[in-house]
Amino acid sequence: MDHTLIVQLLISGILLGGIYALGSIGLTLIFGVMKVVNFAHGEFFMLGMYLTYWLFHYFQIDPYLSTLILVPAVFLIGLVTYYVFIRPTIGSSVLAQIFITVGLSTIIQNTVLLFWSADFRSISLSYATDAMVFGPFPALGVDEVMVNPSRLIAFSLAICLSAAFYLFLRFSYTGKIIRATSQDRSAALLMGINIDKIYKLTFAMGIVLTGLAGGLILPIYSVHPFVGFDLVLIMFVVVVLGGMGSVVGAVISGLIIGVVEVFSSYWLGQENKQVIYFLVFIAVLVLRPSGLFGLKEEEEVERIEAIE
Amino acid sequence: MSKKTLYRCAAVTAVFAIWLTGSVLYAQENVWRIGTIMPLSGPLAKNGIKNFDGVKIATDMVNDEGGVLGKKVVLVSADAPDPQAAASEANRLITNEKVTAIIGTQASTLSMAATVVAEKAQVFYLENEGISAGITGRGFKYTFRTTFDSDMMAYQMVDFAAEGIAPKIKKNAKTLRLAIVHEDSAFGTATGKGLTDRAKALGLNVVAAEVYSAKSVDLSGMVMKLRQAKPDIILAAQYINDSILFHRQAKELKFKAIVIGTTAGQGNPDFVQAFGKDADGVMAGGIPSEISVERLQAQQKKDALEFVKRYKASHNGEYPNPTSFVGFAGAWILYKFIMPKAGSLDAEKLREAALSIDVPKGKGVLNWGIKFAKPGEKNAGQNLYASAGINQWQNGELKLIYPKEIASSDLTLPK
Repeated sequence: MDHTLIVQLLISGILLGGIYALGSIGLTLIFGVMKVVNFAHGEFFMLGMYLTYWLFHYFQIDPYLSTLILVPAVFLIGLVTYYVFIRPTIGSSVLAQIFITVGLSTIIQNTVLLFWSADFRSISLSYATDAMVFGPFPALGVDEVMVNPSRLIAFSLAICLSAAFYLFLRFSYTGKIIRATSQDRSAALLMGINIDKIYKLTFAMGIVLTGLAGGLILPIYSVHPFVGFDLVLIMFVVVVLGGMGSVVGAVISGLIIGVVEVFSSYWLGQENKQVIYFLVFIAVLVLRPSGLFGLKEEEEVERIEAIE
Repeated sequence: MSKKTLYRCAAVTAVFAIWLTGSVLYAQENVWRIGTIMPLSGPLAKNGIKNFDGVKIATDMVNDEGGVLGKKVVLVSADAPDPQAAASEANRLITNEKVTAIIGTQASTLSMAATVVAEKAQVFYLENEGISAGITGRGFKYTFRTTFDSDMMAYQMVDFAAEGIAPKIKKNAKTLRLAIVHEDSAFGTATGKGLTDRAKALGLNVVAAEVYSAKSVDLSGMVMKLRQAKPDIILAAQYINDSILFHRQAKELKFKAIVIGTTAGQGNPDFVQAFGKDADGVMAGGIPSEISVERLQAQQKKDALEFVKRYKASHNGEYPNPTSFVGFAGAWILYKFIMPKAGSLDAEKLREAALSIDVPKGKGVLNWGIKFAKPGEKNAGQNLYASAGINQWQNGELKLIYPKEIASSDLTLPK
């Protein structure tokens, strides 16, 4: 086994993991704070991709530049979605939330299908899709290795965003309120925290992160009304593996899944790769049922009791 | 819900039910009612809608000429996003809508499910695009396929690699290095098997064989494996989304080879949209592209041009997708050749009519002829006179380069 190959597979895996992580942060945030499992997550991701696509298609705006338009646009979408669909279900049964988000997912998919057809749309952006070549590094016995710029950007942003979010939640006043709400809704309410406002903010932020992730991967993937389907399963795996609600966990488990996926698809064949990462997934859940960075079970139970 | 509302709902439902049954009964008297099963929503909707457009335009064309034997054709359409839906919609069309002939299904996986239901109910099923060899390989009595099957397409791809390309890159059957890549649904698996069988029969050297799911979001492991195997030519049975991902990741990892894909993937217009100039040189086996129209025989050319005209008029001037062509061709064969001979939509009569037709190549629709394999023969129900072609992207246009007699351009080797 030559070193170049291992290094190249590792790079590909880490960059892939960056995409998984970037796509999962919004999902884990919304779950962590609001305890809402957003089954329409993939569709917001898709909307982010579409918005970026149309901005490129009609106005030739570079997908990285158009994030400046994308972010406020998806923030608005997030707010509207919160008021119309999510807010009425807060405090009602989990089933109601599942129904509403699954229904929302179907509605968005089919509305997009109706208006924008099922075409696979993609942009051709040569500077972002060409390979950057590094090396050779004779000292390490490594020949040339390839890095794709748009994947590198997605990866770097995943790291930066999660770090920023970690600091925000840890140290800022709003961050502390969000954490307080997430830890004990009733107590937070008693302390005079405006829960509705926090939920609104969190949901919109989660949707922004998700839409942004979609926009950033447009140079790599083509967009179609059902693109969410392809990506959302793996994002749920990433979020559960990392511990539902943990932003740092999502990044680390995203990277783990990415690397495991690339190596196993090389050695065991592309068709067997899922077996391997699901085995890793099951193993972690057996050893740590709440995921790598999730709250321990006792805390979770206490919290649920407190809510009830 | 209060009692009053309940009554109201019941009343409204009853009115609707009566209206629906009434219109159905009325409709049955004066027209030919033909079921269609296509993926009009869901992940396969892209090509499903294009195929259905082809069927619809064929129907409009035949109706504008006065219909079939003086009666208009009405389509009863059903949406089948996945195999379960294909089976249940086939059931619904047969039991509720009482159709006795169905056109479908665009994708092989859907066809495999829907044809089982139709066969049990003894309903005539005309498959117009699903190419998996298995569809007609099960000895079904009522399943007929108008288009070529995966074996016909795959054999042609391998033959073209060995005879058309190898000499031009100074290789022979012994030194040529082939790789076979296919996605793992019915379409890819059947085509992959055809490719492998043919390569084996010709004694070619297959240096890599890779299988993957078309829903994969990453193919870098596979691309690396192929790169290590150093193939001259990659034969690929892929859908559009995964073919774009495959070529993108090959580019990201600086891996180059001559690729012959299929019209389900590399030959799709979305492919050139994704790659622009980089698409040039990529080949696609399968449905012959637009240019064949110009070289068709008189009547076939007239029909095809009329179809192209109507398609463009309803699609903002866009040229028909290959999928729409086969959709059109399937319906056209039913309306123009099978139904007039059967004189009814009785499945038994349709079946007998289909089996008795023998129209030579070039005299049917497109450059095809019509002759279905008889029961008991290998691939019973397969149109033996359908044919596939090899297309290549040249300056952003999909040109037909093989077979020679209808080709519009020559092979240009990618640099």
